[in-house]
Amino acid sequence: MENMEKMENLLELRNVTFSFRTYGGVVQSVRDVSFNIKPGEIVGIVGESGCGKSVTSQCILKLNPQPPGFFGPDSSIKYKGEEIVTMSDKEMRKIRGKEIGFIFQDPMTSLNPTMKVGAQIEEIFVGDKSISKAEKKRRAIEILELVGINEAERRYNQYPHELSGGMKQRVMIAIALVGRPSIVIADEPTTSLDVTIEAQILDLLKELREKLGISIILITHDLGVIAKLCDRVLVMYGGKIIEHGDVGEIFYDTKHPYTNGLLNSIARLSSSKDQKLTPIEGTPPDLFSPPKGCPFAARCEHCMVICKEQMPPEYEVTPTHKSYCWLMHPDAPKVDLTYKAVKEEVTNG
Amino acid sequence: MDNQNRTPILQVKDLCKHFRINKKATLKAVDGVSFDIYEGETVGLVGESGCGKSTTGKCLVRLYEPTSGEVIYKGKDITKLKGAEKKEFCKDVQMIFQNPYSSLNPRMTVKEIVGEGIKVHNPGISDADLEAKVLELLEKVGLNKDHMSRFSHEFSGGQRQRIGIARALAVDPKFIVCDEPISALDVSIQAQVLNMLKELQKEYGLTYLFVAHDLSVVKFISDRVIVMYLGTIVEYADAEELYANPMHPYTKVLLSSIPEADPDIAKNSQRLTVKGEIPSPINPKPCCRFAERCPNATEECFKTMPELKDLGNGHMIACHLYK
Repeated sequence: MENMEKMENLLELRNVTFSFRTYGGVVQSVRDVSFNIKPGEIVGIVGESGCGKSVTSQCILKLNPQPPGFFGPDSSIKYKGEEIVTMSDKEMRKIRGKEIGFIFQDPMTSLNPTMKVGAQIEEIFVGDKSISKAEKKRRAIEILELVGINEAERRYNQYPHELSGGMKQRVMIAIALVGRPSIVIADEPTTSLDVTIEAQILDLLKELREKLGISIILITHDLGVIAKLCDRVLVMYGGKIIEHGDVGEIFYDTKHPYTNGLLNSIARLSSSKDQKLTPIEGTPPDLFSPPKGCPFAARCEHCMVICKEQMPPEYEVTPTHKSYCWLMHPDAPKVDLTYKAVKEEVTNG
Repeated sequence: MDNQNRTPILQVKDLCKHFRINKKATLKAVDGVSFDIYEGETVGLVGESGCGKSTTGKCLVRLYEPTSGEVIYKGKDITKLKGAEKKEFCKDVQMIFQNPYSSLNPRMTVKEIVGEGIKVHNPGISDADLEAKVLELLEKVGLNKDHMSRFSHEFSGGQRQRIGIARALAVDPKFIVCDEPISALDVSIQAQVLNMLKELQKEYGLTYLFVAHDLSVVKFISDRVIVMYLGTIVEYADAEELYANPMHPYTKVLLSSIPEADPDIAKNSQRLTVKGEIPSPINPKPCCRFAERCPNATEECFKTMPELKDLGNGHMIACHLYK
């Protein structure tokens, strides 16, 4: 872990803006997003549906059709120093799957029902004449074993409908890994799975990170999954990153009212029945005409005049923890944002 | 809560719902389930997908006809109700559906959706009265007058679920089956709907059967919790008791699988994991359904089906490990 900090960023996103032209106007799904991914770390992106977390991840591989989608003028995505935004489709094919893998959300619909599992895993090698057929098969079976599928030889020749949900998700992970990428993007990898299977898949992802040293970008709306797996968290809202930091900093020392609201609104096993959840009132902003100030201003209980007028700048809490909230301004009123469970622990001793 | 002296509002006795697939295969979605629900309480029904929890819920509102067994509502078997009695039952028992996107008719306005049930049960109601009643319901669930003439596609998921709840409340029900009412919603919206369900229960004295797969949500809302696995009840106890002191190996696994939204707890907790996945409910073996995956299974578990036993203070469990 020590030499990791010295190493430079594997992936750098700078001012990424991505919008879609639709009949209703232009939807600004991702607005001015910047972050880095270092080798070997697991970064979580958390937010509600429509906050732009999936579009952000798909931008990295340019999976969104262009048009109707298009990047903003200053957007820059650099993978190992190479600019992705301006790459041609042909160049992208060398990145997709081979440098950056992608695990899709729903294993039930993401696999091709008419192709055998093995063929789908080997699809990445299509057109690659340097690898023999036997070698392809060997690698496919090796990767199936790695993701914990027993009887890999037999599964290789089966169709997706013969597999259970958890097994299909393992196949999806195998497909993402077979090209030996250095980053894997997992878009809600466990959302459609049952808790006991979810636990298995999360353990698998963690194990793969240890074994292969890959970086994982984990997109999810489940704070529990983030807490379990991630080193760093980006919180997104209304197409923007509103807070990011190490897992502990976000969960125990959040500096943004939205993150605080999220933490307060989930039912926990440790919470008692008489406790009332504190929901965030209102609904997320409409991204056809995003508010010019902070996107969360309309739902924020600490909203000030400036919040509606101007997007807050980045405030540094610690070198790793940044928050975009006017409450961090030295002149702003002081607000207690420790979430309740922590507060109770403190008061109870 | 002392349930000894009260009569249950709903009794389920040995309920079975089998789906015949072909001559040889029968899918036993619900297989011999018995429980009581008392007035004013919330019973949580949890389990993984395919365990029969939704099927059980649907049998209780007669969306499915049970294969065998009885569902007794206020002393009468609901499968034998006819005519006026059946209508009365339909008025008393309502359901909130899982998916707010597919459970609202896209060609009906909100007013029509919510008003439909009122019209059926009060054929002579005037338009003005109907409108007033619908408006009252919408305000109760946090919507307003402007929403009345809109269609369901104009609403967000949370708002749609509110419409679904208003529709269920429209006929003044006593008992509501909530079939995963919040699983399709965003986290920040889930809390809004959960709090609303709790408030409505207090206000109208409703009884809920809350079907869900999210154990932390069930803990938050339920008085008692039933854990199902592959069509059978494995454990049944007061919520506090069940979460503090889970007995059945499956319940233990289920509880420890939940990723807690707290990095210190989540990263340090030793989690019990089970091998494999939930087996097929088609032609299940006549033994403990969890035996194949159970870490503590003995020979007996593969031979006979455990009966639901009371371990005292209403903690019921179906497991051979507890005698």
